[in-house]
Amino acid sequence: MKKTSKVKYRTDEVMTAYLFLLPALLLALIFIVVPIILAFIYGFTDYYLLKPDERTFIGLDNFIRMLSDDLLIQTFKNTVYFVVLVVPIQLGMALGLALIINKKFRGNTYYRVAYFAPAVLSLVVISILWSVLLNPSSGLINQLLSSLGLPKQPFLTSTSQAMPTLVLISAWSGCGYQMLIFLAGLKNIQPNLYEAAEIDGANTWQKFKHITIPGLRAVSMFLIITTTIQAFKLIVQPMVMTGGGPDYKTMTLLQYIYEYGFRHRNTGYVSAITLVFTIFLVVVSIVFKKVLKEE
Amino acid sequence: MKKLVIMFLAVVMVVSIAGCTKKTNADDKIIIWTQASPDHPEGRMFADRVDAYNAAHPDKRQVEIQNFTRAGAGSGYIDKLNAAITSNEVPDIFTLDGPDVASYADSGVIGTLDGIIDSNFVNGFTDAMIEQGTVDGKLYALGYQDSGVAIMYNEDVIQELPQEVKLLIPSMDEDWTWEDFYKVTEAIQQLRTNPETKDKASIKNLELIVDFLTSDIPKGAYEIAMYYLTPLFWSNGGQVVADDGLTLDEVLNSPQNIEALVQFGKFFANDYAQAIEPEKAFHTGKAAMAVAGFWYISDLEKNYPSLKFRTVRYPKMDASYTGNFTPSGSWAFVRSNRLAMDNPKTKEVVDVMEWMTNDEASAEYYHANGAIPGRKQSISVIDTNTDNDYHNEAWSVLKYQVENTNKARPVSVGYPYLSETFARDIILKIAQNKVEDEETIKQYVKDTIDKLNLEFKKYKK
Repeated sequence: MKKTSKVKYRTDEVMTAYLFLLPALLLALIFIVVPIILAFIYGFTDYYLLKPDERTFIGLDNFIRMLSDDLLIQTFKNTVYFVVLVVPIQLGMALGLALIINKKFRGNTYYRVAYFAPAVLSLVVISILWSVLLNPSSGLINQLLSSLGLPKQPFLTSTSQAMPTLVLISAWSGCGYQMLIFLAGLKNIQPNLYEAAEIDGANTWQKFKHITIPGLRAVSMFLIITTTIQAFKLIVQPMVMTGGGPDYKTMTLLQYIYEYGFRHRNTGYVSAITLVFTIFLVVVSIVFKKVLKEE
Repeated sequence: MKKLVIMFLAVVMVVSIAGCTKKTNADDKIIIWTQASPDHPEGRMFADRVDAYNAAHPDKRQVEIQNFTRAGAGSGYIDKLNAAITSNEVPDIFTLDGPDVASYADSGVIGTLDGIIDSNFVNGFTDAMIEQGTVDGKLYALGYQDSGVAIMYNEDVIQELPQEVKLLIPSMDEDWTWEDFYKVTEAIQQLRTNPETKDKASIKNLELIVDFLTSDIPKGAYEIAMYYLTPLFWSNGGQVVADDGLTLDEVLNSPQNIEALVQFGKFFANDYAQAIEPEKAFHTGKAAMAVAGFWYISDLEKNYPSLKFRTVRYPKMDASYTGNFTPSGSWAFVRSNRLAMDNPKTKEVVDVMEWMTNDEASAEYYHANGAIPGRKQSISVIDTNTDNDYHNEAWSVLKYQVENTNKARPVSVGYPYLSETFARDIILKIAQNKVEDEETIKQYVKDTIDKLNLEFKKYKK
């Protein structure tokens, strides 16, 4: 039986450790714990932002309203649609770029910086730039399509094209960060595994399938979880580029929460939505962790 | 070392807590919040005005101005204001967009000016300014400027039109209709396919005929829809919402409104207008015409001096309509309801509001920002006798509208949900889906009414 030894710390050492923790704990308390508690309390009230002193307890009314709120249901579907598309595309792009960058070739550093650059740009800046590029009449993308003899596309004003367009832009802007993490994972794979596989006559695909993919398993799982949770929190791109349109096809849950909570001042109702959304994200994380554990 | 670390952490905590509890509404000062950026001409003109007040009234409470730049729909600034309401730290005076006044008045956040302000001073405002600041018969807001929208056209393009079409375009002192406006755009479209005209520089450069600024709506400028387009309803005898600010059935879906929306939809259905326009489409000659706000004038003069822009009045839907209908209104100063009416500071606060909106201020704002004065006496500062004929014509049209036909947007506690839903669920849908058929438009309007009624339930409790 394994014996565990307990290290004894002096009281002043323990105090110092707690003091170091204190700022982080305070911030977490103020910006995470308290808002969750308040959302829980307000979720059961009819809190209207301009009349904070007149809120009354209304039981489960807000939660029942959510079930028949067509726009809320649509924004949830939009968000799930975005997540389902963007996670594989973004991670696929990140992995592809990492594999390219992992090769030794001239200008490697330049490409590494270039691929990573969108990840450090502000999402608002990226969204505005793409809005200009995608302008249906004078945008560069449509000019290119025209010069190739292809019809101009409406992109952000089309109900069928707007969300896929946002997915691609989001994947492009976010994949640089994941690329770096994949790259770190690739560097950790022992080169002798590839050498041995080559001696055994494995081709590129076989090496990728049997060495690279298993070698990146832990990194991939981490990235899948973080990218999924991040994707559920999409708000900037639709707010700046489409305003949630056309016909609410790109409005995400977080945008709905912001608009109904702040602009339309329904604090009680959006607190209830936020509470449910938080629980949903926790459940998603637990499911992922369980899957990861099993893997 | 350990002690140093502990001391450092203690200082961090004390500073953080002190930062959280800082009070901004000291009683010995009058605090003003505005949505203007401090380095924008609007922000600078407020700062200058406050400096002048402080210098002129050294024995009174000094005024301090704080600017919180607004984003598209006022967010940023409005978020800050709403947060202050929840923490009971509303400043003495703050700005609100005209249509938002009703909801803040209804919730008791702002106080009425009746009984404190001099009625002669109030009568100095244009009718639309008083209308936008009045809720249930009580005055709450003093507009520091008015606004205006007219139709502008590119003279080089219009020159190419056949004579009979040119005659549809009125002179600057004549009225015209949306039907005439539509016929002109139709004729301009024909110029783009006519072999004799299509290669002329002014025609070749066109990417659309008329710019409605609908691209700005999804970016958060939802108010554009209500501001630019409710005059179609009004000039056809319709309204967006009934006088109670909440009733929509048989109002928003009235036959007059549906007819007006069909007229609007025709521009998009026939590709004379686009839901997403190129940036500065009219300024750069990519659009032949524009539904243009007053701010176009200084921009065109300063940055596009070669564009020959002509200006005509905002059109009517029904030529026989005689009431007020042209777009108007802007941001205004309101006072917090925190101070009781009999508090001596309240009178001083209202005096500051008067100082910020009086004839002198109105004239200064016009010179600083090109803003249309909201006071009758100050409208004369608009110079229509310069050596620039385009400038003179544009300002003459807007001046006429401010003095004679401007109308405030609906007063409703349901703002801004009302205007956002109107913009998103009716105007943008028509523009993006290029709809002109009556049945589809009726359905859009019906769905919008259902949605608004659901939201308005809370105000009808």
